[in-house]
Amino acid sequence: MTAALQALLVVIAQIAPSLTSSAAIQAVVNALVQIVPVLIKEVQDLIPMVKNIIAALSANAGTTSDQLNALAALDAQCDAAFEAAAAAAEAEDGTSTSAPPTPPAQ
Amino acid sequence: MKLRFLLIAAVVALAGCTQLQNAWEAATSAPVSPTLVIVGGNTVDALEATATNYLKLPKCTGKNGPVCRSVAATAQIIPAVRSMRVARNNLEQFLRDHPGQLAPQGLYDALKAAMQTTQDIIAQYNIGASK
Repeated sequence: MTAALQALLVVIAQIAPSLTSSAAIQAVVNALVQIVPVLIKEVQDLIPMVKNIIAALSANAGTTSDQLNALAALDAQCDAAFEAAAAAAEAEDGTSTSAPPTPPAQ
Repeated sequence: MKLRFLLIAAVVALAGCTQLQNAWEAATSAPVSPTLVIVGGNTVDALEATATNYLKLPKCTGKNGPVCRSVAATAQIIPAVRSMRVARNNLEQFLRDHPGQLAPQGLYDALKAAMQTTQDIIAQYNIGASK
């Protein structure tokens, strides 16, 4: 699973410079957003790679506000994974910290 | 485009390493463009993912090391990551409110400081190598 995902990411990275239309960029971003929940469960270390690719695509001249919203959605997913792990760790340790910050707007 | 992608990939590959700060500095020597805000946001997320993996380790008991989660490190990394996210969210919100404009230096400085704090904790407890 991990190797297949990495191969997919490499292919996307190779074709990224040739993506010039906003529609094509948005299609790739949408596909990456859809696989993030799977990554969180199985290969969490790949999440930053996916996010990097989305960021690189978003730096294209065809970037739209919709792609920035997609980035915010990924932020929220990473934040949720962290908060779940933090809550479990704090419960095990018998500690607690202040409430987490408000998630980014969509 | 290729250079920018390589730069982003390098920044994330270095998450949890001492070179992260150097890569970040090199990437942000120019004014704070929207692209750099996105790079910064992704770097924050990479650091957050590193911290998340660490928090999922079993708690250190003195008998289950060396791959375990320190209570002291946990108490420091959680608020540090949350502060870093606040800085990230502020920058991203500015980008949404002001499309195409340069971000204020103050917001950028806040992100840099928060990232440095988190990076220091990661280095102190060797968190990036604990996965």
